Amino acid sequence: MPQFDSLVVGGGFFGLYTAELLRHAGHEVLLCEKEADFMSRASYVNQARVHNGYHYPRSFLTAVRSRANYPRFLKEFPDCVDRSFTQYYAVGRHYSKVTARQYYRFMRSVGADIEPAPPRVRRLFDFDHVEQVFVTEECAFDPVLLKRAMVARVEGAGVVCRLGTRVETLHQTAEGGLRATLETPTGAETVEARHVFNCTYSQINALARRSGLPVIPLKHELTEMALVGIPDELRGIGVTVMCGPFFSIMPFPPRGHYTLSHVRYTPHFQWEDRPGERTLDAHGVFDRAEKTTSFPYMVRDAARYLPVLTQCRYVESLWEVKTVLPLSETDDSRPILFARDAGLRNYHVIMGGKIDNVYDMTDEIKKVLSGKAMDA
Amino acid sequence: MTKADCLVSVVAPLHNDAPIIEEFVAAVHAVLSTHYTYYEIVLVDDHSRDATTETVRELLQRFRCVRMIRLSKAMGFEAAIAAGLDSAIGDFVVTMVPNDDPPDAIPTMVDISRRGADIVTGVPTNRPEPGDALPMGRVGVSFAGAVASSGIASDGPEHVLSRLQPPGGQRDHAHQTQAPVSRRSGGGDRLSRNVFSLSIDLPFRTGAGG
Ligand SMILES: Cc1cc2nc3c(=O)[nH]c(=O)nc-3n(C[C@H](O)[C@H](O)[C@H](O)COP(=O)(O)OP(=O)(O)OC[C@H]3O[C@@H](n4cnc5c(N)ncnc54)[C@H](O)[C@@H]3O)c2cc1C
Repeated sequence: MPQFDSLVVGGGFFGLYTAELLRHAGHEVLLCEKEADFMSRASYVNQARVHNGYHYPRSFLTAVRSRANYPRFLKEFPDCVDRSFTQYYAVGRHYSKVTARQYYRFMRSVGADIEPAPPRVRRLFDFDHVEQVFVTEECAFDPVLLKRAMVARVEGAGVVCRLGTRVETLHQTAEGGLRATLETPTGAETVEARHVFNCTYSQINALARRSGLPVIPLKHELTEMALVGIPDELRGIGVTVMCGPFFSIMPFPPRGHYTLSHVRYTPHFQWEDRPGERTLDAHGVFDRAEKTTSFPYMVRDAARYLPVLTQCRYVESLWEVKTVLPLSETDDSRPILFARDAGLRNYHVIMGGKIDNVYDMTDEIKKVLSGKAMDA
Repeated sequence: MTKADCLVSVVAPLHNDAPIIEEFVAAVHAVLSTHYTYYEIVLVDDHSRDATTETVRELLQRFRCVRMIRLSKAMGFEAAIAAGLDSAIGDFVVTMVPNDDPPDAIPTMVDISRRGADIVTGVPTNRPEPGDALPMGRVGVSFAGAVASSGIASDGPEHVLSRLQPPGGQRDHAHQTQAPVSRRSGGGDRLSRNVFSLSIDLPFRTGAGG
């Protein structure tokens, strides 16, 4: 039976990054991804924003962490970001949880660059609905370029990668190792590893449940973003309206279109994994869900703030399950989940609520690697 | 039946209406889902003191099309409608008073508006005489169904407030809504355009709704 130091389950951005890190720490690493390609799920279907704090005017910690991670991400992946546009953050006049003044002051207090937008941009907005519009410093990542970069790194480092390979169950062996059963294109297999990192995002509890491991409280949403062709006036402009039931529209680099998401209409329904209760397989829910677009709602509401959006051309919808930690509901923060020895010795669970959280995770993994609990 | 390709909003003010909301929402939803692909029901809770808020919260779980706005203090019927109109996203917005106004009238009114009317007002034809018992203690509230055509297709959202149309203009004006709430400058002019009055049979209910 093949033996590895570490098995990484899930080939999204977090799994790839984790696998490389472990390999560099000297581990023999096996990375399994159930889909036909890496980074084809949440790491592809997302709004591609490299967060720089502006999204979190009510969570000091998240804003500060994002601002620390932003330059790191840009430095590490300079060829995977799209900086060809300017990101504007507007503050809603009604129903916003912060005022423009509070927003501005908060951003200044965390050291973020923020200025009122120039008239040529302000003209695009309806000031009956927005209170103020700010220029910010934020860019987008290209998930396809990011995937290419990460796959090259992981393969270069010597991680054993298996696509189309689903990890079915995990069990502790008599010797204290972990045994995984795999479903591969050519049939079932078994491998052993000393450590397992569950990086399956929305599927974290599906794997846990099949293995009789504890469920971690998570909240899931079936989300829809609309891919749209934009009118010329919006070229080079990304817009996010804060901080309430509003919307974002910004470039989605791999498609050359923009994604439109709306706080009210992007989530179609939600469910939770609760310890002690039956949990659902999130991708199963995804596959079965009826997917009727909410674009007509998104665009009509968004156009009240940014009237030029009436001229958007709908291309298609991008659907995915979005997973967040329930406690982050209260303050809008998106902390990382890093559960060490989560029910089994050397079985660890990792989930990042946004791409740049990878650096928070890095620090955690390094702690584990140097810690006494790591090696048997 | 092919469904109309437009977004219809229904705006309804609520004040201590817990017993009747569910039936109202179910009835409106039935009509909307039959006739339209895209629709929303905006319930404006005028700071009710009864179980209205909780009841609507439950409905929010069941009906994806329902939205709730809760006013921070009781500001009256007109303000509630205004708040709803200000938030509605429909190409056509119908204001309705739960329990008084017939959901069945929605498609007719929207149709008339689609054919060009900016405002359509319903007039009750079987209004009880003064002194007749009105349900739910909602004395003197007259039919508020109206349609404002706005334009994702034309020049941007334009919500005009309905006017309550007292039969024969005889009613006291306590519940008449005021001129346009459209926050957009120039919204006032739009009221004068092309106002159709639609007379529909409005059976007042005599029993308290569910
Ligand atoms: C609509 C939406 C918008 C978002 N917007 C942003 C944004 O603008 N900026 C930002 O930074 N973040 C954003 N996010 C969050 C971001 O997408 C996630 O934080 C990130 O992609 C998580 O990466 P991951 O590797 O954990 O998950 P994934 O990329 O989903 O990777 C998990 C992988 O595990 C695989 N898998 C599952 N079960 C198994 C199994 N049993 N065996 C083998 N493989 C398995 C899956 O196929 C999948 O490929 C958004 C998310 C959504 C849904």
